Amino acid sequence: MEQPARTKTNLEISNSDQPPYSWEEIVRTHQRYIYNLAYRLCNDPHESDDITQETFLKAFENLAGFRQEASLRTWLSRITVNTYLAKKQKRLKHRSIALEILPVPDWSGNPERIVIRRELRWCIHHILQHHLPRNYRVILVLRDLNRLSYEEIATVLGISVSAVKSRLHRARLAYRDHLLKSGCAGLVRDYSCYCEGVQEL
Amino acid sequence: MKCEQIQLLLSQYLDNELDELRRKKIDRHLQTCASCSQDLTSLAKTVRVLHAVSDLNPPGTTTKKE
Repeated sequence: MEQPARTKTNLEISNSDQPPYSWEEIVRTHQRYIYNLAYRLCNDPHESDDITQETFLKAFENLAGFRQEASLRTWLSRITVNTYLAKKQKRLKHRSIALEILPVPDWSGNPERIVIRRELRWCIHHILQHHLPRNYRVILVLRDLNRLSYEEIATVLGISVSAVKSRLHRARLAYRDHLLKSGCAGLVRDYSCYCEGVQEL
Repeated sequence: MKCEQIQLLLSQYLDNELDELRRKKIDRHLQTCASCSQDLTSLAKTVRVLHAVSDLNPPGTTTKKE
């Protein structure tokens, strides 16, 4: 990912409690996390890259205003979610995702297993993208895919922790119901036949 | 606690977000209630499926998977 142009030295944040850290360090530390958050929200590798770049650009532009009331990761996550939601509002069309374009983690082995993992990944993302309300998708991605705490999610979404608890539970129930209703036989059958595949997905 | 109350707390139960008292109440309830136990199992499996999605490397990076 390209980084914002700099004219002089590394941008540094410093206060009395923490050592200064550079822009390069921020990007290096959080790029993977933010890219995956974006990808899980939009399910499009190109758009994820755009959102990631936009997130870091916005962060770079507003770094001076970052008051460290939340962690840097939480702050970047909030920018990512807001960037995604703003983009989403611009085009609300249902898109199908071709199985072939879904990225698969590096793995060279039994081709059958690759297909199983692709199908599983497809099922998981398809339900997230097309069968859940957006607020459920966002909270599931933040909690169960990107593993933020309840408190961090509350900060990212600007809602109370108790609202996080109830929304997360409703979202999981909705996701479970769609899993059970979906045509993914492996998941319906008690997840057992694909368990190993799921673990390695 | 009634089943309706228990079921609302199952996600927090799975995430270890409940205080000790509530957790013990749910533990006791689950020992005798097949319906809530089944709900917990299916919810846990759902969460496990979501947790199983691994990270991808952003384009242009060579970072290893975590």
